Amino acid sequence: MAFETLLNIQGYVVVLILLIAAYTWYKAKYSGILDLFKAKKLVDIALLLFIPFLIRKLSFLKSTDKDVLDSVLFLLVLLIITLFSLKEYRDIKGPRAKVIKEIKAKELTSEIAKKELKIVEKRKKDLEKQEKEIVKDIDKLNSKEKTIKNKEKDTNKKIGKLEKEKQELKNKIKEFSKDKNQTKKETKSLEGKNLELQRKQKELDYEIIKLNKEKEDINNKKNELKSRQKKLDDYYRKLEDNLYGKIDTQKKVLKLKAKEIYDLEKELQDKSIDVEKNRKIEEKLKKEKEELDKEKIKVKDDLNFLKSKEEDLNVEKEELDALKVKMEKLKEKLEQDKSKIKERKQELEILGGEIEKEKDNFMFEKMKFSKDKKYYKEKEDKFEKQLNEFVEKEKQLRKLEQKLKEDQEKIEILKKSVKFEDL
Amino acid sequence: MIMQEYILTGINVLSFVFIVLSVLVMIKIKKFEDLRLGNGFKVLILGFFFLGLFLLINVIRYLNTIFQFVQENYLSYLFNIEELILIPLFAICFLAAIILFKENIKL
Repeated sequence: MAFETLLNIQGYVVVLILLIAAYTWYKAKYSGILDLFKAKKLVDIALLLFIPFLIRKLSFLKSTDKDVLDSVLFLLVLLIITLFSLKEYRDIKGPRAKVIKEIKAKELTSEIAKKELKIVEKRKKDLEKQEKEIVKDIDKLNSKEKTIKNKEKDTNKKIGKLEKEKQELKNKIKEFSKDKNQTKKETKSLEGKNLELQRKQKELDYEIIKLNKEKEDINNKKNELKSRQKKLDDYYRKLEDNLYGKIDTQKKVLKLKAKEIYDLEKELQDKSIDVEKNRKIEEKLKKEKEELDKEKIKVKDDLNFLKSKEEDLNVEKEELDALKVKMEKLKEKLEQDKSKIKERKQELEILGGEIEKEKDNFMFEKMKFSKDKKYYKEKEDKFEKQLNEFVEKEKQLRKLEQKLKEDQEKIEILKKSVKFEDL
Repeated sequence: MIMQEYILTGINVLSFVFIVLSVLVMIKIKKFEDLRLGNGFKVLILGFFFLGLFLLINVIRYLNTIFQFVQENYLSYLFNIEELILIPLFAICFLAAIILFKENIKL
């Protein structure tokens, strides 16, 4: 349905377009614009082609009649067009060919010369018209050239500005590259510092581990010393207990024997009976005295041994004290080292924070640099576009100049031909 | 009825021959015309070429009614092409040619 309506509308549209064409054609023709046009009749007849299309749309006619009328009209119009075109062609070509032949054979008749003169006059008039038009065109082209020159000046100025901007951009890019190198150097130095700090931290960690090991060794030694001291204390106590016990028993025995001697002396004094008995008793006493002396020596030896032992113990005690002092000193040292390590750690943390800050700054500068780079790249692209536009404009100008030259050459050739024909 | 079709095919064949002739002569005339009218002439010849195609399709249509050598489907397609494309193109080329004549001579 839509297709059929489209077909119907299309027919009317075609007729309308052809009518508009006819209107514009006759308007132009009567205004005198188309005087130069030789085949005017051809177009006049060709415009008649709208009639068969109009007949196709007439509803009161039968389709068979329409077909017949349509094709007959087409045939007629096309026949007229061909006839007229052939006639036109002969009119245009015929006299020229004849003239050329006659010039070649040097048999110019007066009638042909007049005809030719008429043609030449017509041609001259046409040429004058064309010349005027060309002069107008030249004026237009000159004005265009002026405007183009002005534009060229403007573009040159713009190019100068753009070149300055380009140089500035290059300088800025150089500065940026310098900054980039500096930042690279700084980053390298920071990385070096960071590596040094890491190395120092590793050393500190190693020292801490060493100190912890030393601490453990000292604790082990301390424990060993404590156990040894305990053992020595126990041994000393046992020795004391044994020696004092022995001494007490020997003292008691000696007291008992002294009492016995005293009793025996009393008995001797009291009785003083037998000398032999006395002698025996004396011998016994002597023996007992000797034994007592021996025991006394033994006790003395034991006492000396005890004293030496005591001295040894004292020496060991002194050694233990010295070790304790050393331990305390080591403890103090350890605490000092710990505090130092803490301080170092704090310093490292501060340095790490500074490095991170510097890194952030560097990243921010990097971002800024990349943004600036993009901005300047865009500017460069714009500049290149403007340059390309300028080059295209220049090309157009050159083309126009060439056209102008060609037109001038044509005018000169036409002038020469007119002069030749006049002759 | 068949006689009428024969006549119509004859007329269409003749008109096709005439349009071919006129196009050829117009191409020759174009050489003698002003250079500024060249573009307009080219477009006018193009319009006549479309008209020639339209006439050729008409010839085929009328010949098919007598000899029936083409399927009707294809013929309907050809008819649609003729009606929707070739005729409007001919009209548009004609109008464009006249506008170009006018404008180019003004310049």
